[in-house]
Amino acid sequence: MSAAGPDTEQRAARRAGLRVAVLLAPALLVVVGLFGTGLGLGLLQSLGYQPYLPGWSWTTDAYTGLLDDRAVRASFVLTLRMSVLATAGSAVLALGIAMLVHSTRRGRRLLTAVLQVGLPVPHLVGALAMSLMLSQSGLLSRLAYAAGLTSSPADFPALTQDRFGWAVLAEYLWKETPFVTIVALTALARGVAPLQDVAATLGARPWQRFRHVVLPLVAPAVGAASVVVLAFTFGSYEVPAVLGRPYPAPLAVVAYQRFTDTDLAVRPQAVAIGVVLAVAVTALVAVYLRLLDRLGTAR
Amino acid sequence: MTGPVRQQEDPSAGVRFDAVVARYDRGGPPVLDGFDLAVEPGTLTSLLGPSGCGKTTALRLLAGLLAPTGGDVRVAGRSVLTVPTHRREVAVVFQQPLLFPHLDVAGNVAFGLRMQGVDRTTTRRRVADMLDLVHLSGLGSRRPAQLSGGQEQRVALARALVVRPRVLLLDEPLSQLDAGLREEMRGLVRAVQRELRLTTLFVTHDQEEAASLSDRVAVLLGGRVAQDGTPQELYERPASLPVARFLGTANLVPGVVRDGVWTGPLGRVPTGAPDGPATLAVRQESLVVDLDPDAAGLAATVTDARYRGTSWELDLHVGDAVLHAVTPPTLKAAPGDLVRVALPPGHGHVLPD
Amino acid sequence: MRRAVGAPLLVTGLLAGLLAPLVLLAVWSVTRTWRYPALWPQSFGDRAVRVVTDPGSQILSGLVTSAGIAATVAVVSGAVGLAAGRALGLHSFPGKGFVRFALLAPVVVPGITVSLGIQVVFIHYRLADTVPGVVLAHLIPATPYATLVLAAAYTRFDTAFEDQARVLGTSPLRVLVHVTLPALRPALTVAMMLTFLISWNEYVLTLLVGGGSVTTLPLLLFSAIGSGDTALAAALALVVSVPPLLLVGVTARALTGAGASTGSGETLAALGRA
Repeated sequence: MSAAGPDTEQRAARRAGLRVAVLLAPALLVVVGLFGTGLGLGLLQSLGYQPYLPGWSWTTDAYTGLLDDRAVRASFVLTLRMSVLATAGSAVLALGIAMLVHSTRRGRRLLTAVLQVGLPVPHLVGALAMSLMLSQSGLLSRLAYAAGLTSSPADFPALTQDRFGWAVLAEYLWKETPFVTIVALTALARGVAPLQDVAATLGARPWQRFRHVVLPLVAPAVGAASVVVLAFTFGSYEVPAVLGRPYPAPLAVVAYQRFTDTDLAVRPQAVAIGVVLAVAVTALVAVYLRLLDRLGTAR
Repeated sequence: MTGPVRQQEDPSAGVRFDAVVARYDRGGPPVLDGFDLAVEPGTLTSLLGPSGCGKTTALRLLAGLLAPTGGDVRVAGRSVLTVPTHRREVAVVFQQPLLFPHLDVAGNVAFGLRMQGVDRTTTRRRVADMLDLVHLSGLGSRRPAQLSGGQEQRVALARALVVRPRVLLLDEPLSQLDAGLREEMRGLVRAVQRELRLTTLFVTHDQEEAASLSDRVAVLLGGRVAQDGTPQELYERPASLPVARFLGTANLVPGVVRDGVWTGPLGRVPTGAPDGPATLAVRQESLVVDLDPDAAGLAATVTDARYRGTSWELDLHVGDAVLHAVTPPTLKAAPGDLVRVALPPGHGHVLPD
Repeated sequence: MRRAVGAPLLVTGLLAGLLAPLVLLAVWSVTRTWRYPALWPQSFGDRAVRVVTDPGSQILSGLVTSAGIAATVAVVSGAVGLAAGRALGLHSFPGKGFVRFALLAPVVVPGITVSLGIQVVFIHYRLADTVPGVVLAHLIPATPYATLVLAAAYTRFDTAFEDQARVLGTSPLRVLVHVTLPALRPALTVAMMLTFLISWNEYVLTLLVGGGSVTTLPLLLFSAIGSGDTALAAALALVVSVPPLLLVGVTARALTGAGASTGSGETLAALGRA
């Protein structure tokens, strides 16, 4: 016991390593076994590989098909625009609301509670609610009629199944802003107020306190939350499927359309769109994190 | 806001609290109630009191982080109640260093100058000078998380000083440090304050700290200043029994005053106090103990003797009264010894009950 | 102080914006006729509510399927996360950075990408169109969140408590049951609640892997929305929403006090995914 030689030490190290491996095995089985396999097979299939079929060959047909497809190009732009708008919009709104909640004394608890109500509700429910609010026969349209602004449903601007995707954006903002707000509030509660006091005693005006103290301190948390928003909105299917147009539709919707197409030849394109989605969202997140990093260190 | 350029000769301003009332909750009990205090320009005044007496509240009022419900707060003779914090030119070093975690040391020190729009060259020079002053040259690019507690507090001090405030507020900035570091920081605070002739209000619950640092000490009890004077005045002539108790006067001997003379177990002490029951306050260092039982003074029995390294602490019975005294370490007394104890003239202080 | 007038107005507007869509759903669920341009239904009726609460309907079996899948996902990913969270929270080992990165990947990469890719394997092993297949698919987004929540809890866990129990002669299994699990209970509760929600709310993975044979509530809701029966869709939306709301409410209450702050950041991140 007392004389632990190099042998014993090595054995102990090996046992510790084994222990870690055993503990991690189930999680890695899911992440590598399921997720990694799915991602890898997706990539291979988009290049022509067919694991259980004889006579397949490598090809980039799926990708050239996508490149030549105007619908897919439009869909890519639409997806990018919607995701970036939802991410930036929810981050800005959330910061504003968090500052407001942070500075109100009365009604603060109520507001925080209400902010959390929407969090566990599925996006699909949010999509239905938004269509009841924003469609041409929805509540807003009826309010516009009651206010004398419109005289028929057709007078009301099309916000659902429209070209821009207003209702889709509204649903994303309705669902994601509270989430980012709560994260920002959690960050604000972590000792930001005393630092604001210090800044004030050093001569910082209210705007300067926000810009040079609050913003840099909540940026990491809001940034992390925004990554989740960015990734989700980029790959979201059910919200645009309910509220958007079938054409041009976001990439996830197009991928599903091609996957269920009776023409089996376009199936590899579905998988290829999936790969494009994954690559694009990863690149977006990387760019976003880089931007955030620069914002944090910028003087 | 770039304030008017102030004269280097007299950078500081006096501070006055007039009958200030402050509460934390509307309708709640006042934390400060009729709080009066004047701090002369260029001096260091300590606000000394037990925890919860309102020391920090007074400081937050002066910094504008809290609004009083009554009274007035003046800096350089002018009321500052309507002036927002960022224009008061009152810098604070808090109990916690509260360094900005997203900035390095130089960035923290430069913060106030950046807010004022001071140009980069000047900022760099003043930051370097200030880091020099607090003995942190070369640590400018460290992150707050990489600093020790003492270093953090020195950065906080430099950050407050670099903006050349009219008044410096220190809210127990040393209480989180260990003994040796605290001593060193005390010296630094005092040296810097003297060098810059900065009006300083120092909040503390540590009497020794207050005494060793301050030009004047104000004892804050129950929301108002119970006594305000030089450290020596406070120790030698506490104004009331609560002050004497708070300052840890070891011997509070009950007696009676008649015709200008206090009479009690310690004999007779002349006093200006009115007739009636009164307490004689005697610090333990004031009592002179003689091991020779035949010497002059009152006969006393040693009931306990505790060695303190630099002294002996004795419990003495004089008649019914228990007295506490200290003697040099060479003067070794043991429980049961009969000794003599005397109170040199001018050392007792009579407080009417 | 100048905002004293503006703030209540903003707060009221905010509350309305957050709650109006949900209130509208609730009203629609008990509506019989509500024709344009009326601001309030012409007549109310409990038809939709009766349909969705009818024990003979598809809804009940959808509820059972949804709850069963979500509960399985919660238990499995909770157990997986408990193990992996320990390795990440308490041990340092080569490749730890990679493991963390690998765990974050499913958070970023869309589920549709992965399910399109893995479909062929699922078909080959007859997992497509089956409940086990759907459970496996749901584990992909659920496991990372469970692991990250529990890893955060483990970093705050002092293993000295385990040592203390071992010194007192407790077997490893009993240490786990009587010392470790009670200490991690708040985090485990949060992790399981989140993974339950992730699975409960999942649509596209269920659609692709379940192929329409595994009909969870979101799938039924989607077709109800498509059918144009607004009252029915609204009533079904409430059926889908109420369990998560109750679950979060109950969990929040249970966690108030001891360890209420446990992994709040991770918790919220996961709610965003749900």
